[in-house]
Amino acid sequence: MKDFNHEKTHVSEVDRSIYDIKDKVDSSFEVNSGLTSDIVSRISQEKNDPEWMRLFRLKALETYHKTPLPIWGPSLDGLNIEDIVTYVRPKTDMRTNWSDVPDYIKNTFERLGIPDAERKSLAGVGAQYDSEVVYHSIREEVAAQGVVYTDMESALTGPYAEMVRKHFMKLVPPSDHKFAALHGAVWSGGSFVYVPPGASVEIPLQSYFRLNAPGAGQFEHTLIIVDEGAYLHFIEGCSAPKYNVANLHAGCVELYVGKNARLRYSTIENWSKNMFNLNTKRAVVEEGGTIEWVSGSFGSHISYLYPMSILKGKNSRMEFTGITFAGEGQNLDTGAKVLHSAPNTTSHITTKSISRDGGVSTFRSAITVTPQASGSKSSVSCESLMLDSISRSDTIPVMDIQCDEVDIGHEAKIGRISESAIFYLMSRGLSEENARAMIVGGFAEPIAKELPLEYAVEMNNLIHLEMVGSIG
Amino acid sequence: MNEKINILPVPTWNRMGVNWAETRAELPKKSLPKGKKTPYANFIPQGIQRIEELPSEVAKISTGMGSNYDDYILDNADKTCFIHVNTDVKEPLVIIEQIDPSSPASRTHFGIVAERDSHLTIVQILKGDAIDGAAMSLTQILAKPGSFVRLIQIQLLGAQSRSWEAVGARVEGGAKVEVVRAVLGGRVAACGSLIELVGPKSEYTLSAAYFGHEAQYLDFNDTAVHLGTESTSDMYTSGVLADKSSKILRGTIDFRSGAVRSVGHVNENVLLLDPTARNRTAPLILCGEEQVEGQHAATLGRFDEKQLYYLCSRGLTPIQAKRLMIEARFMPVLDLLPDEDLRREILEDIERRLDHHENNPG
Repeated sequence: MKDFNHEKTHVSEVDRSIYDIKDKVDSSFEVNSGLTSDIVSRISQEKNDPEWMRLFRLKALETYHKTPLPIWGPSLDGLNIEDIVTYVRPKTDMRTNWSDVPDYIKNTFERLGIPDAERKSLAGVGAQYDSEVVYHSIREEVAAQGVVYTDMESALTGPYAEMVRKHFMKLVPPSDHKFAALHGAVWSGGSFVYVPPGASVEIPLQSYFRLNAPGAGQFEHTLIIVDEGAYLHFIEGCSAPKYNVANLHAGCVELYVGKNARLRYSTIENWSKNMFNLNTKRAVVEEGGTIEWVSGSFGSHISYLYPMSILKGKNSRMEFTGITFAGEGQNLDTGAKVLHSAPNTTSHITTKSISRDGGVSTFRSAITVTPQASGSKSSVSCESLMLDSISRSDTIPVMDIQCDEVDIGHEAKIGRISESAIFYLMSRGLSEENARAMIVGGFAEPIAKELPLEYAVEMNNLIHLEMVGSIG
Repeated sequence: MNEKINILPVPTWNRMGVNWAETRAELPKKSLPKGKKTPYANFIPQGIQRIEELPSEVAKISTGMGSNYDDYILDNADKTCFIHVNTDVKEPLVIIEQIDPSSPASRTHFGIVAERDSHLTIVQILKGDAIDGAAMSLTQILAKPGSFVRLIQIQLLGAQSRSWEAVGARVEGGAKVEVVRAVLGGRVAACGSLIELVGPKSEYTLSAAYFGHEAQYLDFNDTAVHLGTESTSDMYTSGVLADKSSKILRGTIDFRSGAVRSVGHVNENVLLLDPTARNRTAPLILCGEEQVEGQHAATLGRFDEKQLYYLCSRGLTPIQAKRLMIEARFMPVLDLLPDEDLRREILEDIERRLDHHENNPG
């Protein structure tokens, strides 16, 4: 039998340290902390924004100042925007060859396994370090299909500038909420993807976001347009070392799924536990199109994360599969939103959450079916597992149905690990701790199988890591 | 009254409109003079004692409608009905509130103290109609160990009136509170219950049914708070929405730390008859205790075509079959009524409203 304690020590000593390694902060430029029009103008100037973007940023800043904090969700008391540095430029330009990336940054991504994954299983990679993308590449055969995968800054001024301008923050306008406005004002980095009609990107593209500077914010913008009949699997990963000061992530993801197109968007979020993760993700799906979200939330101190799908075209559909693991010092408020606004649209949401060591996990959802969405179907299933009595797990779903020809189902369960299951596994020779870890792994399995293989392995490692010392 | 009522125990996105009741459910406070708190004087079955003053531990029991509403009724009730039971009362206490043009408003405060191992059934019926009629009630229940209190609330108001029915209960060890609710009429109907299961093995069941039609607005806020060990709650709401009616149901199970081995269920079933009706549901589970089981489920949609086909194959016309399926939604509630005449009266009321719906579609 395996030495379980040894295995967990191994995980604890190796895997967590991967994320927690801090590089010396060696930026070529950074703005002062806080948020003023001067700071926003300076970011715009540093990034050589076109004039419309400079004005856009300043208008978003006005919206930010006018918009109140949300009255719902976890407390944001520990977040003071005056303490946040919104732009940190690393000491390098964007490269297309890893050997040209400075060693300390390259080594960080090597430890995270990104170049290795690129060689083995990815069609393209984008790597962002603090506020800027430091590496971007796409396989020749994928580019030959007409697929565009580049950093947002290049897209903003390159041949796709008009396409970017037409779509940028149209799905998530700065008026959407306070942190969308903040994003509009100080965004930097991120990726732009365009998949032309009929193109199918058989192996995934991946962007990885690494925040190294303490007290900094990361505000990357991801814009993906999958044209008619095309297919793409896009993977997003993120991590940061832990500091004693608050870091902020307020990224924005806008996804346009064309007629009969399909987009799968997978995320493993493993920010450090001093991170305020206030991310906004939204997709609009045209006739017959499909958006699939796969989401694993493990990191962050506070998280507000609810990918939204607007099912705009008839027969369009969405699937959301998510898992959240909240441990000590974490309050993770996650879920999904769907707007059915066309006939015969379909949505399926399946989530699992696990709380332990005083962690708070909240599932929050909103299903809206408009009067135009006759013949639509929606099902929501969420399951929560409590591993001790000092943790919390809340479920807050809402359904707003404005159409009679619908089929809506919703179910939620909350519970604990069955004593009889633990007893059975222990009778087969497992320690109690090992039995619990196995049951939690089994609970998460339906979600893990939806993840790309290397991420499923990472998730399992994280679950094992989180289960260390879970007894007594 | 501008204060919010039926507040969701934990707020969510404002734009979903469920954090509290819509403004059309606000109370007509300014137009009503302060009430005189006249004690209820009609027939009281044997075994029930009237009491002049409600014990403070009962008067401070909160309801699901919220403290704004509770304080208003506590200060302004026209009528009071405070009772005490310490035996098994066989006959239900039936209280009928009639709204009419000569008496368009009522504010009633019920207080119930059920002593150890006592049994009691109370039936509250709202009837009649008046322009801007307003029927308001506040019911506070203290169920002491081993007692059983069944509260039946039947609302049969006409289309011009509005109703607010607030219920709060404190359920001690081994006691059970059962709330049975049927809401059929009223321009606006708001109900808010908050049941605190404080004792070990305390129980709560809610069986509710409604028929939303015309431009009716229904607003429900039902919460079971589990504090005692091995406490159980089971809330079932079944309803029909037709015409331009709109409904919000907030159903919350709240497991507090220490409520070990407690179990809570919330279920809802909604039948949508017209494309202009609107249904909003917010079924919450709040959990601060590891050793519990909580579950909620909701199904919404039109008539089940297979069931319709089956019923028609047995000789019913499609209209008869649909009526049967609508009436079936009320059966879990009707089956709990203690009186055959009352059951018949409600069924006839449903029939009348269905006739009206069929003759005035949309």
